[in-house]
Amino acid sequence: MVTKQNRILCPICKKTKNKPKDMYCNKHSLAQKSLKKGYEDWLKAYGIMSWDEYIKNILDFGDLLGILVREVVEYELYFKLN
Amino acid sequence: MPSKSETYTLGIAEKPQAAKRIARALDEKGKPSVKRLNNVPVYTCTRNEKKIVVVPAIGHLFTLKQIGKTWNYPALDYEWVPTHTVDKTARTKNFVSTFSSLRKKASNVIIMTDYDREGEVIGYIILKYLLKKNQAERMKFSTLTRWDILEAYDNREKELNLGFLNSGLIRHYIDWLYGINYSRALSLSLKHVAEKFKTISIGRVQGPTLAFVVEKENYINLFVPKPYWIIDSEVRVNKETCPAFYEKARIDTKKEAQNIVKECNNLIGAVKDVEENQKNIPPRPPFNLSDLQREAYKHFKFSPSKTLDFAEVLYLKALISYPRTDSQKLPMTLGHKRILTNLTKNGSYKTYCIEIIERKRFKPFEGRKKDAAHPAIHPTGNLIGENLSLNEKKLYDLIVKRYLAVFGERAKQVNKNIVININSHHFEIRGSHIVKEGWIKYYKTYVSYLDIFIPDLKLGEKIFFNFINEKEHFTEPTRRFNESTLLKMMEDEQIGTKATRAGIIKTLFGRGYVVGSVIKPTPLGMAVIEVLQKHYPIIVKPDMTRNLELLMENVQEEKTSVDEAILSKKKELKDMLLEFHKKESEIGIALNMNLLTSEKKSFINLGACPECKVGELRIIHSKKTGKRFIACSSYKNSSIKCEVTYPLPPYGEINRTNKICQFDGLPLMEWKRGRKKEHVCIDFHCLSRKEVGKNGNKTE
Repeated sequence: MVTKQNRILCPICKKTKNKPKDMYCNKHSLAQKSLKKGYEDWLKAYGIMSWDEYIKNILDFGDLLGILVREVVEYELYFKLN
Repeated sequence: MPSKSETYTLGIAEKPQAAKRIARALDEKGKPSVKRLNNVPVYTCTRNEKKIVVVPAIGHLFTLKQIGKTWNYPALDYEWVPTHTVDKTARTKNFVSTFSSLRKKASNVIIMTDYDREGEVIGYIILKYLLKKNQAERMKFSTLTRWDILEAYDNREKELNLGFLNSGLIRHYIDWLYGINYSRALSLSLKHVAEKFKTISIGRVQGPTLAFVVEKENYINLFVPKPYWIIDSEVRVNKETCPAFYEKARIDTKKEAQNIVKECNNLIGAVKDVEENQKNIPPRPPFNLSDLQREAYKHFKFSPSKTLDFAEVLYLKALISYPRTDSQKLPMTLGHKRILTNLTKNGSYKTYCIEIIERKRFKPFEGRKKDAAHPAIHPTGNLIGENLSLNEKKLYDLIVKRYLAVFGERAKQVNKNIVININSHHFEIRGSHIVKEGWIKYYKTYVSYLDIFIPDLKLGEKIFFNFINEKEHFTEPTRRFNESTLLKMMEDEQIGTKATRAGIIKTLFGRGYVVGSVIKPTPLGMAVIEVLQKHYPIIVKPDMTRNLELLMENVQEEKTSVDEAILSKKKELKDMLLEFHKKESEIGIALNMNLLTSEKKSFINLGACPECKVGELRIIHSKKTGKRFIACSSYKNSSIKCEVTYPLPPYGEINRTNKICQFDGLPLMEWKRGRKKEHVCIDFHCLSRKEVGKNGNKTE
């Protein structure tokens, strides 16, 4: 259910978002940006790669993948699957 | 002790062990009489028919305290009070009483504390508040050896070094002003918003240092590995193989890497160029404190504060010179020939010392850094006794070998690069070897230069590659700080001093802001910095503390007076605190929110409670003992009040596993010690653990 509180809190860490229309809090927004930038780099490096393939690959990196980026990926995957 | 009517010269030493050494050196027979006054050893010695009474302090006997009792900010007025009156754990009371009782008969005073800012302040405060005098003579020495102390006594200054004293005093005042006011402001902002009290400590050096750690962590948390390729290749020369390096160390795209491999698929190249050069490698400069701390961390994994502690012991035993120095200079006046001759008595260094003495070249290699008060850290030449710990011996060996190395000749290294052309692509074979050892011989244990095979090849000669492949790699995030690299960062950013940096890092650990040998900020540390960076960045930026260091230097060089400097800083601080006050509730709310999140994060939930089935098992740290244990979260719930607890090992990282023990159905936890990870039942008495030895190792 989308409540008023849900609209102002980050769905991952429950911290207040900068703006209600933002998807995440400041930190997780940066992580999402970094994830997107990472995809551009991977696409450039391999020439061809789907977003799903990219996500699958980076999740295998263990501690090398930043924890905030991992949280964003896992959250987005969870919502995609459900 | 002199008779009741007799007057004497009173000497103030910094520590009991230093007092003993000074008294022994000053007494003409080398046997000063010792009497205990309030359980403090008081040494009486005779020199040139004069009585000298040497009394030790135990570091600072006084501390700054706010005038008035309000716990608010700004707190701008302070006074010096005996430490034991504010800190009940301080063991300084007897020392204060001893100095006070010896005051009346003291005809004059000599300050014999370590010759640096702190030493000057310790001596001056005792002189002013306990001996009720304003002026004293000053002995300056860099080692506690007999000859150095006697020379310092004979050439003692008639008055204190005002530059040092004022710079030491202003450092105390500024650290007190900034530390107390910002810590209070933060703690009160939280109290006014959340109506709960938690001490949040921050200081002018602590803030920026913690910010370095947090900023690095933020970067690591946002890191996404990026692919790149290297060209991996090997050549065969005269039945030997060696790696060849492609002209570009990193290739950004897979296609480019594949193209290179494809274009080089004939695996036959030709020598295009042979470059050979000889390099002179000068010795490493003598140790100053930071270099010693870094080198000791590198070779023995000693934390900077431990290194300082060990060095302090070696100094007090008169084995090395004063360690709190910035200097990389070893003046000839130190008498290197004498030191080296004395070192020959130690079997391990004998051959090297004789070699240096026979070469008759006693001019050491020096670095650029200077320190007006002390030379670089060097051995005194005194023989080491049996009462040194293993770690102290290790550090001593490092210092002696570095000292010997500065008398060594430059080492010579030949570097050879062979460029191979294959289908317009260039590969390089790199080799180097030491042709003349020079100083490396003396410092061999702590330095290594690899000898890499260099094949002899002529221009145009054909070269056969064993393989040329592209190899996929991924970028890695920047490494977290360890104590040594954090110290280097502080030094590069010019925050803190050589004497305080190690202590600041220790404080960050003590306050629970950072953890681990690879330093990670705790949720609390992250929360504090996050709020300050957003609402009050000035306190976590190095600029402010760097400016303060500059001001303190100006005071030391007597360009500004202490009063003038303090007045301007008080005014500045008052304005800054006013600014803080305006934002207080905003900061308090943010701090409270972040602390709540950090507290949640710091709770490690190990699974459901087997007793009440309602609560969850969490790791709790006892406020009283600091020890950790597992307890049920329903303990605070008055209707359930579940009292189940399990003990935990005192060390190692504990994490949740989501697994259940097959013997008793309790949750399994991950127990990580260094690289060793183990899944163990939370119950020590579980059959799966059988006998757990005292050290926590599982024994079958």
